[in-house]
Amino acid sequence: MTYRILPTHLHIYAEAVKKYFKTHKGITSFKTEEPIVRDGIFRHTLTAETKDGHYICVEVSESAYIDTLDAVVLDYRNKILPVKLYVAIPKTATNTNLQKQLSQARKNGVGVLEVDEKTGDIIHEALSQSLAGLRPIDLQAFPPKYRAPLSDAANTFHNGNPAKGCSMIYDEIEALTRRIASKTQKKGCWKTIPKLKIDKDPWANVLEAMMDQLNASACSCPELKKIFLAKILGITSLRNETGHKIQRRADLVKRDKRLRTRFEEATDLLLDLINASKPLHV
Amino acid sequence: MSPVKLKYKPTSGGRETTHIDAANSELRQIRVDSIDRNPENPRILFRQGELEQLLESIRLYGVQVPVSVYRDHGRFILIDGERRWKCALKLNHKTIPALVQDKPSPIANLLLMFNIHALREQWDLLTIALKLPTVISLMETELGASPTESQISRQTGLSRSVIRRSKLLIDLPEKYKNQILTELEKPKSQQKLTEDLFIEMERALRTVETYMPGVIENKNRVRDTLISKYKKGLIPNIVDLRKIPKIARAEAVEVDEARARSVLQILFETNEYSIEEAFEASVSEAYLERDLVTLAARIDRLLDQIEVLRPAEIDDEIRSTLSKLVHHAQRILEASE
Repeated sequence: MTYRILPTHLHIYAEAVKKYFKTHKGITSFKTEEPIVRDGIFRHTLTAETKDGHYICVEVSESAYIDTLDAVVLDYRNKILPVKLYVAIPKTATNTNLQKQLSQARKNGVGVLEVDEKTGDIIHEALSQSLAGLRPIDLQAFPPKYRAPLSDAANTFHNGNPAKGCSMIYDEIEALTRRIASKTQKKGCWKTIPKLKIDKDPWANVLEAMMDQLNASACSCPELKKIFLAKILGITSLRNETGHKIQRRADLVKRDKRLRTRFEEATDLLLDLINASKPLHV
Repeated sequence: MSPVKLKYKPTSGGRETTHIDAANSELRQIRVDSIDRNPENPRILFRQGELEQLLESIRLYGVQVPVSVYRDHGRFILIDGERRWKCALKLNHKTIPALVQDKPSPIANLLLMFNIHALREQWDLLTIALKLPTVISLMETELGASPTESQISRQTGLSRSVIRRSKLLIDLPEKYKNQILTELEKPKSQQKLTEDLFIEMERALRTVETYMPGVIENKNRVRDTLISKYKKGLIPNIVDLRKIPKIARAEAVEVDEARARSVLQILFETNEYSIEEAFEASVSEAYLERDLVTLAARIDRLLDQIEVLRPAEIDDEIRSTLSKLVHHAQRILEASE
């Protein structure tokens, strides 16, 4: 393979990277110093495509992260490109800023691989950039009991299972909805009591009953209006949507874009619901 | 940039030129993909830290200074700007500003590289050294005789001292050249086995070979010993290597040659013996004595000049210097009583 950009002394490490990906991830067909899309803003040392539509990009470098990668990562996120970006550093590299670079790489979802002439060790895995661009959750805005589940949901999302990540947020919204329904019913804030098992009946049925029966001002929760509850009702159909196996990259891009928006909206909705139901102490 | 005029005739026909004049070149935007690096570029090392900085600058501000290229079989070959070109390629720029010049003859091409790069920025000496034999051989063909040092200097733009230092590196066995190359790949601040270390070492060993033949039986073993002592800190400073030629020239300061010879033999063996110890054990005192004699002669000459000074000629600066001299002389005399 001919490298036009990579410094000569790093060529052996690029070859070691190829061996690593062949052995550990079954990827064999790497291109050298090519942009992954025509209007891409960077030519990584090695690029390949996986069967599930992801791009694998590897930057062979003595630094675990360089400032220019900020712009590259941003470009991938804006274009919602399913790129898993790695930086491969020689094990012998003397780098005084390694810790700082590793932390920058981790923050931006960039994987780091340590290689010698023969083999490699992963320091941390890369996230798909089409998922990594998720808006960070402001955990401090949420009551403590929600923070761990929200963190888990974000990690699940980032680690390649965005549908499950969304579903974990929906679980929290559903549980809270049922607690609100039960509490308001007990407090006598429902106009009539319908024949409904709040704990067991479908989530959508509980919400529809709340929209019909709940007197929001009577339970000191004026924000729990019909229109707000309708918004929650709108996501109940997505609650059990599971990820289908993606066959084409275009579908992967669409899915990631859709799920990123869905995750962010669901998180916002959960926070709104928590705030709206505060007087109930549920 | 002033034109580089070469007195040599082209080695082959066609559109090659021996007279490169940037003023005659054409400024164009050319496709980054249509450019190839110049195989004659002596610069073979591109430190990544430096490339990373340039990469970010070009990402933010674009290529502000055009590269220089010449046309060759439908492609463009770089004359100047390999780092800018590599960065533009890395950033997937489609085009790059370039000064397109006529194709130079092989020797003009090579000499142009030296004149553009070596004069403008500090090149690693070894990269120059590795290309010098090609320059010398091409010049030999053109001139019909070996070029002199001053001819090489005139054509390459390198000073004679750089050429001499390069020649010391050229003559090193491959093993040591590779050691330097590996070291040069590191950032400057982390380089230990530098070109300067090898140059000082070679100078020292050549002097020993000249003045004390037979002391060095296996030069590579001696080199390895000195490198190992340098790594261990037994030779704390590269400049210490300059004491070795002083020991080798023991006769010049009337020190027993046999003693100096034996000291050097011990120094060149693998042990904990330092250059400083070898110097102290052989010629240190003799050189100090010689330095004192030289100093006394200088003071004598100075006194002669002071004696003829007239008070009216003394300004504030001379008065202050004279009073410092008196003060120091008094201090030394009092201490020695």
